[in-house]
Amino acid sequence: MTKSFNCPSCGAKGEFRSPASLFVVCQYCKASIVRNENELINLGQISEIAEDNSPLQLGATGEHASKTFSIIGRIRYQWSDGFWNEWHLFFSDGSSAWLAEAQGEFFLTREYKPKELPKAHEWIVGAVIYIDQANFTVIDIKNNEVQMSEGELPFRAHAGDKRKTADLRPILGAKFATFELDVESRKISCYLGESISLQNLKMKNLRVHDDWK
Amino acid sequence: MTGSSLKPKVFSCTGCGASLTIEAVGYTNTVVCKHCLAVIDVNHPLKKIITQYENNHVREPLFELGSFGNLNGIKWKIIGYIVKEDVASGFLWDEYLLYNPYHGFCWLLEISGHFSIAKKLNAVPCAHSSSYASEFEYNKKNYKLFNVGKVKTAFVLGEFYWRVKAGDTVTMADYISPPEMLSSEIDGSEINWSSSFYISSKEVYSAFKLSPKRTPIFDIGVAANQPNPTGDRLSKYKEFFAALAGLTVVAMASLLTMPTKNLYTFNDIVAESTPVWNSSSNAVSAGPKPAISPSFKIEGMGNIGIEMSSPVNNEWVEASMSLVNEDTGQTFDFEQGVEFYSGTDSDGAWSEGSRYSDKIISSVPAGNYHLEVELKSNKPIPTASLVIKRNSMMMMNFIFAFAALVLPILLLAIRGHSFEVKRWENSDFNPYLRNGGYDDDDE
Repeated sequence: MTKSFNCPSCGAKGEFRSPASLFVVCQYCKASIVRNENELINLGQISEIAEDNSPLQLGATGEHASKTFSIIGRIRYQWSDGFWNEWHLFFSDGSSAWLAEAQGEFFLTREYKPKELPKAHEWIVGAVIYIDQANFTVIDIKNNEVQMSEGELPFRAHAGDKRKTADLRPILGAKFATFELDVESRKISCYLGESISLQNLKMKNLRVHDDWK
Repeated sequence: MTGSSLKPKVFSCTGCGASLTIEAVGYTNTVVCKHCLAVIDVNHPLKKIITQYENNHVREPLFELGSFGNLNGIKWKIIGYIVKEDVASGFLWDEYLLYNPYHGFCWLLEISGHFSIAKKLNAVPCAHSSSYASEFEYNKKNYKLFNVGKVKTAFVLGEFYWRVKAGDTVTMADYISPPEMLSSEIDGSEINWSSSFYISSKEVYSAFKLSPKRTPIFDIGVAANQPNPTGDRLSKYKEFFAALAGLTVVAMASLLTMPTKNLYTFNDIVAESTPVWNSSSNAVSAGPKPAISPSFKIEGMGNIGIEMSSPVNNEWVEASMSLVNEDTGQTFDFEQGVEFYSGTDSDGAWSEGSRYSDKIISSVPAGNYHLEVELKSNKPIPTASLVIKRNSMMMMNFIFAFAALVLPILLLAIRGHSFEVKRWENSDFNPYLRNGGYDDDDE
């Protein structure tokens, strides 16, 4: 299902592996491109580079719930106390998921669409919210900015785009939920998942560290 | 697609210009210079110094920052060192931040020479309401509240993925289920849980190279999550003890089912000849001719019990007996006596001794036997009655066997108990004090 395109900025050939991808960063000229119907809109080049020692990279592969996936995109967010990565996973069945990477920990999440989501002004630390048959508590609220992005993504994530997120945990248990508000479009999304290790995901093609060969 | 390899990042300390490295690039946001102790915000474009002079060098880390070590098959690098302080008591302990790019972070804790490995827990094992639960169940284990208190960061060195500085204070609660411990850390509205696991100091010292400035620390007391060694030994020997106890019960049952059989009753033996008065011993001896029982048959294998009775009063009777196997000539010689004294003194009536006694002769083989009895006494004409029995129960044997089995278990249990008492001495929620009659308000 790959669909090829020519970069509206440099003309280089690129491709969308996932039909759900609506945003791509040209791997040559680093232009951010939005796919809109049959039109490609150039948002401009991203000069920011990710300076981190994440073991993950575009092209790394893994396995979850007996399905293989590859990493096709990443958004790197910045907030007042640091950075974290959201890696876009493209599964063999055509579905998308996210591998959030923060403070050396990994969370595999998928978008969850409940009938109703609390408005952003109702997000208060300590508030209890019922999601997918469980009560979750809001543990953390952050204002974030896209620091850089790469590869292909299911939505726009251009450097400087603003988001507000709320992290939630169940009253008891090991699940994890996030609400994300796109400040520009006022669209709220919900993601549900749990913490997972790279070993459990049988990751391959990770970045190599000389001290851990 | 292959990207760039992972490398530590090098930068110059804003405070003293020394060359510093960041291993966990992208995660680390605070670096403490090992030379000038400046706490630096490495995400700030100018690498701003947050604080410098509040960071008091309390002590040297046991293991050098930057060194590697293998624990449970995972190679870790020590990248951070924190000295924590219990605010109420001033007690200090050490925490080492360990890093592996593929496994993230964990902590090596050293408390009074005891070590634990701690990891952040991505779950809420127990919801804190207005007060702390005294115990809760998590992953099929029961955790008991051990301590609650304010904990201060006393000294920091190295790199950290969170904003850390000396003076930071949080409220911690520890719940134990040795060798595990779950701890909650409350910082404002944020609650973080971690789980730690006790590991032997031997394992730690063989994994990490000791700093040349330090010597190993001997462990003091019992750690909160130190496994009780007696519990291990008890469970290890449980099967062995159970088997032995089983064998004893089987042996006892088989002996109990062996019927006790009366072989012969020797009634009112009277010394046959005229008694002889011996002036030197002040005693009368019965005639030289022993009383001889008729022949009786002993069957199977087992013991012989002899019950003796004599109507003595302020007298003694002693019987010298020979149990003679008529088939083989084997003889079992033994003595048995009774004595009984009574009277009245200023305290009233008294008595001593018994008119009855019994004796057991072990391992008497089957055959035809007779018993020869000679009586001695301070009585002119002593008499006695004897009942001869096969398989008399030897209850004492079983009591001894049980004691031998139960005693080591009991000793282990006592040791295990005193280990627990020692563990809980360090707790504000000591169950051994609550019911033990001690009281904080004691004069």
